[in-house]
Amino acid sequence: MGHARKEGHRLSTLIPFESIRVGEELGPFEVLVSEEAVAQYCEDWADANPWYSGPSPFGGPVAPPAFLAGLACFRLLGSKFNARATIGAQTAHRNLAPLPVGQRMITKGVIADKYVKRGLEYVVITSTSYAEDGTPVRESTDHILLSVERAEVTSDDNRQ
Amino acid sequence: MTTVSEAAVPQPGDQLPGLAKTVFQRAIAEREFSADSIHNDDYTRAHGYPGALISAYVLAGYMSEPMVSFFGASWFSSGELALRFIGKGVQQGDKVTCGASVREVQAGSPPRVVFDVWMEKADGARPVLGTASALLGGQS
Repeated sequence: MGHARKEGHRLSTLIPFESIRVGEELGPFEVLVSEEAVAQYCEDWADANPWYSGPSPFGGPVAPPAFLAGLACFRLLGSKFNARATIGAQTAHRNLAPLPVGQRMITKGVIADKYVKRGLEYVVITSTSYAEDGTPVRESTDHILLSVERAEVTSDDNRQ
Repeated sequence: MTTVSEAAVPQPGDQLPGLAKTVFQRAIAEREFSADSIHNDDYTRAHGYPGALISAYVLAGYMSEPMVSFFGASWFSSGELALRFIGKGVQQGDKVTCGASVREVQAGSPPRVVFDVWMEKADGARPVLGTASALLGGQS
């Protein structure tokens, strides 16, 4: 990658850009999608869809499709690095199947890319979340800004 | 401007009713964050933001809700949401509206409806932009 920084200038001190290896696998990250966790989601997001707590077209209650969407990637990154200074820059999700409440959701990911754009460092994580029976429920791609610290912009930035 | 009826095949330019929310992230309400965290008011203000930044996953949850309402069951198995987080971000307690306007209806059986989506703050800024789409079927 042709990222550009001043000699010795490190933007993200918590996640040194050089330490990120494209292709490195992350996870799995597992979470129980419990009734309590979904109820907390519904309260926090003020989303009272009855499908999340009772009968739904899929039978019983299902998790909100955005449950942990865009968060699992940070948990995956956090399994290798200190991710507390990172920021979500882009997120994309493809829903594949509903996830019944009460099941574990397992997310596996990989570092798909890293780049510098306008003096800021990013990492790209692709991931797939599965129900505990192995059914894929969501595919995600997240671009994560490693730090709001900014370097001088140079023509060597590898994305514009 | 027309408002989409759930029973009709929407047309480009049709808009979903705006979904109003008061932004809340439990972690910001209940925890203290380190001096180099984007959830720390002092740190983010020092870098030009109005205050601690709400996490992307929180905003994605808000943006997903109107798609569940419109597409119903189909959103769970064919929904696609792509968002960019830009500008000064979103802060705790912000009053926002999630909007969606039909960009195109892709032919197929069933057709796929593609929306341009956004989150708008009270001052008119749009810190979240993107697209959302799903197959038109199984609506609630």
